[in-house]
Amino acid sequence: MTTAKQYDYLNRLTGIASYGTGVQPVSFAHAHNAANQRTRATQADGEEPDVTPLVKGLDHYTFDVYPTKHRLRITANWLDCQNDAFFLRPEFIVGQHVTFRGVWDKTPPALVEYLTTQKWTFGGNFYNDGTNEVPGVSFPTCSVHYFRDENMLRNDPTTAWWVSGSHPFPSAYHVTLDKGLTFANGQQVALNESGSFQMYRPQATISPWTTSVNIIGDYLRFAEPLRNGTTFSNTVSVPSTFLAGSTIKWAQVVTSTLTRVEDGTTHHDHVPIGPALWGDLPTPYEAHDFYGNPVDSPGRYLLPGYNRIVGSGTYQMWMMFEPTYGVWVPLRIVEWSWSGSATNSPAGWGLESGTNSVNSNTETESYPLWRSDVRIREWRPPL
Amino acid sequence: MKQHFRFVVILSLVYALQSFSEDAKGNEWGPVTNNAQMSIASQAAKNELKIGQPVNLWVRYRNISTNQTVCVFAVNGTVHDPEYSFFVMSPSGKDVSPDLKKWAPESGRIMCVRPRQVRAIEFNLSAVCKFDEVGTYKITAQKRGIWTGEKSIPFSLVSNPLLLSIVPDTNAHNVQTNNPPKGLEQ
Repeated sequence: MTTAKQYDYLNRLTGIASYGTGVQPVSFAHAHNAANQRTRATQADGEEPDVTPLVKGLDHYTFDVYPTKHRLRITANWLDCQNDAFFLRPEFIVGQHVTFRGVWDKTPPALVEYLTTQKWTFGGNFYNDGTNEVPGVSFPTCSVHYFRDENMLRNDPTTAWWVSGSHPFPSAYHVTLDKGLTFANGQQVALNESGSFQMYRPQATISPWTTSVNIIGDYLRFAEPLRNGTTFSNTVSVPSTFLAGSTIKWAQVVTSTLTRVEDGTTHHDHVPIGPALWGDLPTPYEAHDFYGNPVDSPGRYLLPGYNRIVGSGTYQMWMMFEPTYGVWVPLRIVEWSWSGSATNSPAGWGLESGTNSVNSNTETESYPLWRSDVRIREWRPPL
Repeated sequence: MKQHFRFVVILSLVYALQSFSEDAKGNEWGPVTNNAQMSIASQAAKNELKIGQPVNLWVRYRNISTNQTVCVFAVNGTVHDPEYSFFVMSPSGKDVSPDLKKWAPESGRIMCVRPRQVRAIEFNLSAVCKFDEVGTYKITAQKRGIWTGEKSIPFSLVSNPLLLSIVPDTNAHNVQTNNPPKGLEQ
């Protein structure tokens, strides 16, 4: 074992450290006041070192030292993440703003606050920041790009929200806080605290059902005269403690869209002016049936004077959950499509073809992405 | 018997309240076309709004037939629907009608009005039209692309005319003039 000692310019012992093979490293640090007395000693928990002050020229001297413990605890929205009883550790739901703090039961003396460092690490899939997907354009014309800002994880407190979790039993996620303390005497201490919290995520299902492509009124439409083209019947199970104030919202993204009219010699396309992908605005999606299920019946106007029209679209319908005081989070995504064509004859417009499909229906933790409004279009070439 | 009486009284009250709320929405209708009618009414009491307040309308469809369903396509978002035309005349006689034809919505829903049924949708007209003059606006609406039952032959409906009063907002005036409260004049 090797022992290293440190002395100040008055030759007083200010630090001692022992280390060696097979030996648990131990170190102490001392500070002195103007009366040449040891005023503070930092040591491993449970150790009781001799900190008797030494005074030159005196053989006997009495001095009382009262060491104090300063416990750092991790809290999430002020709830204890280190509770000995795991079942009492805080519970949250996805999307909920969770603010983590390192809280001292008693703040250590002589801390140099501005030199304190911290680094949070969390389990699960979370975000803590967002920006407009297209610079200079705001939501809902474009989506919000949510991301994890590592710099914010160096703040205390720091806030984040989760997109992962489970139901009916919550997922347990770890939280650790590495804190670096600097005291006025230059002494530094590194602390590492860890705890956990629990995260719920609503359980959702979507059962899309579809009809067929038809000519309805003066539109080629993915619908039947009395029924919508696609209906997203759904169920959501939210833990009762988070039910109040939470809402389900929907967002639809158009990944491709075609409106083409033909007059025999040329064709014209009605194309969105903005960049793909396109938001099927407004967002949240508002077209619902009597039961509150989102529905869609996209169509193409049968322009008089043209002899053929072709229409199609592919879409992502996103089911989002928004808790009280939080951010919406994705639960499920359904990708679906339709296409159809109609021809014009002296008897009027007649259906030429029509198809539709539901391509996927999956759980997701990714946010929807769109860059512009699908409703702003122009004819190319102009009609 | 006593309980039965109470039930009848409560039922009558509920019915009276429903009728009252129907009246509050307005009971004027446009002309009948294919056994269907359209109506617009302000959600504001007495068709009167302070300047700057949103102009929210009830757009209602009535099916007066006994055996056929009337269907209306309502775009996602309702307001940006090129199948609507709103004719809006300002108090000074200016035509301030919104241009809804520039919108090309992708999605929407079919709203079916069954025989003898009325269905209403909310329409925030101020989202597409400015109501920045004090006085009475005259508003009429037209909706194209309506169809009946399985036949799906398209037709249009025209609403009743609606007179909407915009009055000054006295509180807003105080803020705008920036007058300091009494006793604090400089």
